[in-house]
Amino acid sequence: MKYPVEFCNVSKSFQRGEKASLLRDAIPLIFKRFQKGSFPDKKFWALKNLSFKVEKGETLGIIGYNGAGKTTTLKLLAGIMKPNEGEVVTQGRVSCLIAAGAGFHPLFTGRENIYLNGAIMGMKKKEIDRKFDSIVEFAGYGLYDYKKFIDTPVKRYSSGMFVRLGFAIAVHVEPEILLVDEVLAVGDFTFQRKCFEYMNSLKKSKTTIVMVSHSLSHIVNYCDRVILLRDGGIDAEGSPEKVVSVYEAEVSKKMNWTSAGNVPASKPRGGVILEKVKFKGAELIEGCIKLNYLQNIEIKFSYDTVSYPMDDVTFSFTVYRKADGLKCFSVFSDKQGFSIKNSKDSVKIILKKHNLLPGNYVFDVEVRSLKANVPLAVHRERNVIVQNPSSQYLPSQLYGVYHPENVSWFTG
Amino acid sequence: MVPRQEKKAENLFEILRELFKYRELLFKLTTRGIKVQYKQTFLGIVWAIFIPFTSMIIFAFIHKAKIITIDTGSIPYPIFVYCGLLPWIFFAGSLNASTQSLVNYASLIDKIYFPRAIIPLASVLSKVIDLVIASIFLIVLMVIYNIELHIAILAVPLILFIQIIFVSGLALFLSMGNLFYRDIGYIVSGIVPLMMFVTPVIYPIQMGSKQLQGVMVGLNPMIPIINAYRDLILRGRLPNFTELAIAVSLCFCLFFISLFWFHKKEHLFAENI
Repeated sequence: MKYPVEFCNVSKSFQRGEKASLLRDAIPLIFKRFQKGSFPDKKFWALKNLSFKVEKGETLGIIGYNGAGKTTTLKLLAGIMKPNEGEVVTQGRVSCLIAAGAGFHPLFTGRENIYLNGAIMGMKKKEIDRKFDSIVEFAGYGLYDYKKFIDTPVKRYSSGMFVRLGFAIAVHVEPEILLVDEVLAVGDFTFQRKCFEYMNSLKKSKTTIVMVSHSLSHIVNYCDRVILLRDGGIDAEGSPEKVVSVYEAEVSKKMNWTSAGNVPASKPRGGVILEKVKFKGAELIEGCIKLNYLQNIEIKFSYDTVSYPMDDVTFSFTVYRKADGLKCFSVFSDKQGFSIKNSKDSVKIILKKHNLLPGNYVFDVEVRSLKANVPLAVHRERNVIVQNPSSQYLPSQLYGVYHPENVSWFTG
Repeated sequence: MVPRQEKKAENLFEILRELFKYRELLFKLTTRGIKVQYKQTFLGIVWAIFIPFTSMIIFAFIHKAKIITIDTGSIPYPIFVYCGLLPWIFFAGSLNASTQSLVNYASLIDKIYFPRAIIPLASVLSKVIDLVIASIFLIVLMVIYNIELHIAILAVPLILFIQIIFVSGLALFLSMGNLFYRDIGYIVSGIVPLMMFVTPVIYPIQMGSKQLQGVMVGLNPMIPIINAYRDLILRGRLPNFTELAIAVSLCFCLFFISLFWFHKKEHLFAENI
């Protein structure tokens, strides 16, 4: 079987240090080279022996630190650069979203730029004629009236409108291979949504997508497989959840940083200390708490305080989706009966069948002051993985965070 | 639809075929060059006539005032000089523009794949329009000086084609040179005006010896090209075939060598620009 994208032992080096960009500097360098016989090796290997394949219709995510070789990989795929060693093979038309708006001339109108940029991306005039309205509509999605500006030079466009147009043209190339490099960070919320909808429709029509992003939630939501690059080689490869959690765990270890993805941190006021938070029935592996899908959650925690008794307190348990900080739910203890009477005591919360879909979550246990509406103490579990030991439970048509029960569909 | 090539073009034929596939882009970039040039200027396309016209006025004045004496035979000097200035200004203008062209398109080269040769070629072609517009005034001069038209004038497009091939060959080479070493651009803008003095632009070039004439023609194809324009348009006769044949073979060799070399190096452009 032929893969639409294939990297075979690809290495790519760049010159380290300053490179002569004037003849004045280059000529002495040539003499030096003759004198010494050899040239000091000032190569920097951006990619080293990198091999991977992408299947037709698959979406591959590439993550990694700055300088890991992500953009170089995309540029090699786009044919902008050639590898020093190895082979890059692509089958079919490539469209590259590194380039949104790159070919625009500021003096030209939106209309002229659509034709110009379309031609740069390899579209014929007839093809652009046919897609013109659709491009304008895409660019103006969610805006009041984009069409009004289509005959205005793009130098008077807002930067968001500019990028919208560039992106709209790039996606209309109808590529067989789409390369996306962190461009979705621009554009407003409606436009981002539109782009992802479009990428989903491309996915359905078996377009192969290679996506580079620092937004781990996008990676988890849209990729079928993820590669973690490090120093030009593959560090980890596999399902998005797995690779992203490896990456996150490493980041938090490296920076000694409270990595909780995009979950906002709350600052406890103090006065109460939470000790010994125990999850019953959960595995504890390398700082991760692993829960099974549709299991019970049972958390027991002890507190320690000097300012007792306290009447206006409540205990709460909150679950966030780790990737984007979505608050899945938050439950509070009853106002009565949960006052702090002693210096030390413990509280237990049980959720029968938690109904969270498999994925990564952050759990917060809080003691809150009701009157001041501030947390007094917070315990955060940053790496909670809900796993699915036997996939038979999980219906295939279930996405999101919540498992609704007793769903039936009827016709008529 | 232009499916991206899986294999890179290997020989000249394949390189030309790839360029042909991207002809619409060549056309688009050419018109882009023309539009950009005229979009924000007050005089617009009048600029195309302005430079050759003022140059002609100055040289005609120098000639009339007897500051220099130039023998142009039966041809009135103003039309003689204008007919030489047109191809020369095209040559100098397109060479200067195309040398900078790759660097000007840096943002594209860094981000999208397409045959890079399109860029210098388009910048040469977009200067042809200036030549065409400025030629309108040549027709006016021909009417004023009552120049008889000869059937040979039909061969002018052929000479223009040869000149475009020559300029394109240089443009491919120099734009690539300027991408790697920016002082190529300074060298070009310094040398090209000097070249005018060894080209029959404002005066005819007649060498004492046949050998020297041959060497000059071999080194500077613009000599037979400009002579050919004058022969066809003003003198109503066919140009010197030996000289022209030397120029033609030189121009085509230069063009194909440049194109091939350009193609071999173009994958290095993105990281060196």
